[in-house]
Amino acid sequence: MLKASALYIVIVIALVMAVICSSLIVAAYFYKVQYQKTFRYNQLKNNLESGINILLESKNDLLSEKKTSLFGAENDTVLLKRQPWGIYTVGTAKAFIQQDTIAKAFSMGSQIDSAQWSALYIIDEDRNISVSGKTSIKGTVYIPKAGIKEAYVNNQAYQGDKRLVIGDKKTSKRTLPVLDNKLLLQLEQSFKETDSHNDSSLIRRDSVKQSFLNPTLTFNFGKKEYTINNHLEGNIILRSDTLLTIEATAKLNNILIFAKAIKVKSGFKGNCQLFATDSIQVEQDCNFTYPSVIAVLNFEDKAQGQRKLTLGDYSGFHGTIATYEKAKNELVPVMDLGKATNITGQLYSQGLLNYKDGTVINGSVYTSRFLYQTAYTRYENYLINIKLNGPALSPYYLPSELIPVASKTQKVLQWLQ
Amino acid sequence: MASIEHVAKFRLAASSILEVVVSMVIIVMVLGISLMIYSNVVRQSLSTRQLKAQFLLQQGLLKIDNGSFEQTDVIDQWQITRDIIPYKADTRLILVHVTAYDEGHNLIAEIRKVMISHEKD
Repeated sequence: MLKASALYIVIVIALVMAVICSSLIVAAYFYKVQYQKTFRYNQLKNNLESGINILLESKNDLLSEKKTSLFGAENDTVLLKRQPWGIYTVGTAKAFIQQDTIAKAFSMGSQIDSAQWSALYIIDEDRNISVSGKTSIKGTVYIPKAGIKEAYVNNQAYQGDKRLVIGDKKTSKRTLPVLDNKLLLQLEQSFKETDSHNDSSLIRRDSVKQSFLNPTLTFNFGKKEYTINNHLEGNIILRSDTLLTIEATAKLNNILIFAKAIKVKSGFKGNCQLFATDSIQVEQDCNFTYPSVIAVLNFEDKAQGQRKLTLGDYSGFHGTIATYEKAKNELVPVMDLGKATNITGQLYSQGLLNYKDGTVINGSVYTSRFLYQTAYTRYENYLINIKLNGPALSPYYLPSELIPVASKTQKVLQWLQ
Repeated sequence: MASIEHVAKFRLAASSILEVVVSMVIIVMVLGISLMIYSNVVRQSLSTRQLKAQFLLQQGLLKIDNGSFEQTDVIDQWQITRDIIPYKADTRLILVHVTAYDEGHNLIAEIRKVMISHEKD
């Protein structure tokens, strides 16, 4: 006999409906959680971008993290930090809501002040500039009143454009536009800093990587000569009171080096900011990527000896090269560019700029005097087989505030994290 | 006669009145709870309106970033309002407050962001 069993059937139906309902609740909960996550992420992203904009517009450094409520409401707190990093500035922004945090680290550069930008600035020493061989000059130039003339040198006449300068010609002053004093003081302080402890642990480590969101890692070698052949990346500063040698096998990325003298071995490739008080010697076939810096900076009131910065033959450099001396010394600092060196960026030579055939500078050159030497002769303010091309520099190139052409507007130069 | 005898052999036992009443009560309760859960889920789950509003707000911010400073936009009968006020003295920073209102002028979503004004470039 077949049973009617209405209660039994109803219970089965109720169970099926309970399963459907609970799956509906689970699905709704899952989607709600995902939506809340996305919403919170968007909110954090907006807060983070707001923090980045505040950092870009700040004029003062924030050496320790500052907690800021963006709009005076809930869930809008950001932690901001802005610290000098060589000739650039590094900013870090962290946005958080309860346990959720997102952070970014970036370096900043200034926009180019197009009114002051020039492919060449050479001070007026009451004598003209001469061009010879396959020389090419493109872009606005600041030259002495005496002007620019063709010359016959080493049995070769000028073979370039008949206009001599493809661009505007303006009259230069008797001195170079000065470097930013605030940044020079900061760099001087960086050489003097003694808070870093002597640390030789670097010798035992093949690779050191430090995030810009963490405190700076400093290695101080003191008066002991050291050769770098490690992989160093990020928020790392190396200091030395004597010679520091960088091997070709070393991998450097975004680090700072302050030393008395720095030697970069032939074949090195990397991205770093090198600062020395006495000399920097970059051997041939080296390649520095943007934004690298090589600078010989002397802050002594009474300078002794001649400071020298050498970029070896066939080397490539993207960034800023500078020589600076606080005191007026009879032996002015020398910047020595090897054969067929290719520089993209800015070059500021307070003293002499000694170059060889085939030098290409895409960007700008500030110098007191050019020097071209052959086996027997020394030519001053002669531009021979050199290419200066201002417009060839990328429109996205951002200089440091150190160089006079920088405007006050800052932009993100590089995302570091 | 033969057919009546045949039917009598396969008799179906009916449920008692109590069984039927209990079943009806259970089924009504279960249906009621299900409908309640369904309506709650529908009410609380992802609102396409909110999603759309979020998208429009982000678009509104993007427009300002691209240099457009129109105060009000009407998209699909929705009103997107942008209020811009200076954020900090002596800087180009501006505080942008973008709000989305529906057809009945009800606030659906809002967003705030500190941006850099392109006007003083």
